[in-house]
Amino acid sequence: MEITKEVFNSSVVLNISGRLDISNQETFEAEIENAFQDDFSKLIIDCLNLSFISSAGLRVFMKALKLSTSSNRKLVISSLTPVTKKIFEITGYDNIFEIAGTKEEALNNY
Amino acid sequence: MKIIRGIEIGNKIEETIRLQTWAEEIATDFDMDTASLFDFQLCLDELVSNIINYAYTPGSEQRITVNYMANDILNGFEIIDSGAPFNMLEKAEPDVNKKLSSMEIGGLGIFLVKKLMDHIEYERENNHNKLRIYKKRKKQE
Repeated sequence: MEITKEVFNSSVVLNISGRLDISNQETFEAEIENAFQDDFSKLIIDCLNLSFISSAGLRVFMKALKLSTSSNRKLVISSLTPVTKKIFEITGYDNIFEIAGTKEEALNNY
Repeated sequence: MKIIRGIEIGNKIEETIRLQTWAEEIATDFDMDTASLFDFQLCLDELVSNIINYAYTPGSEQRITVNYMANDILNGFEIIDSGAPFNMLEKAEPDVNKKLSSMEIGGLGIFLVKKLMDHIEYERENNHNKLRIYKKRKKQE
């Protein structure tokens, strides 16, 4: 798993790539906590290159949502692929999160 | 069902990386479609991490065996551990429609395994948990 960060005005984008599972969820969690130290109004987690996610990864997405709610900031997940989208749909997480088709949509329309 | 290949790993989270690589080799060697591989890898991540985190006394070094099994119709994995008895089939499903604040994370992995697999068997034998998860075989396109 790799994470890169981009800043667009008041939005922060975390681009996550590779596999997100039990073996690296703590790294991802630390990156999320770290990101919330920044001053922004919207956090986008872009999953275009996320190839695998298990419930360990979903747990961290849920943590990100709690952090965004408690700090009154927006969280948008973008670019889920069919394989990762399936996991969000089965678990009902697609109803809990704001999910945009692309990073650009997440930046402009949410 | 015939056991085709097996692997033994330690009860440490970093061992799951070796397990996932092994599963990828199985998929390549036995013509498993990519969607099935994804589902199996997810289930192995859920089930083996549960064993590592909850089945044993913290700090004790244990072994977990995973076997790949197949016949003409089904293929799947058998996960064997010597930890505390645990039958996931007896666990109630979490309510995924519950509000965010009251939703439990712990049961989500087991919920996913039940949703993604076509057939699941559990047996407690000689002080070991034996869990078998199966999917119908699909031909690689």
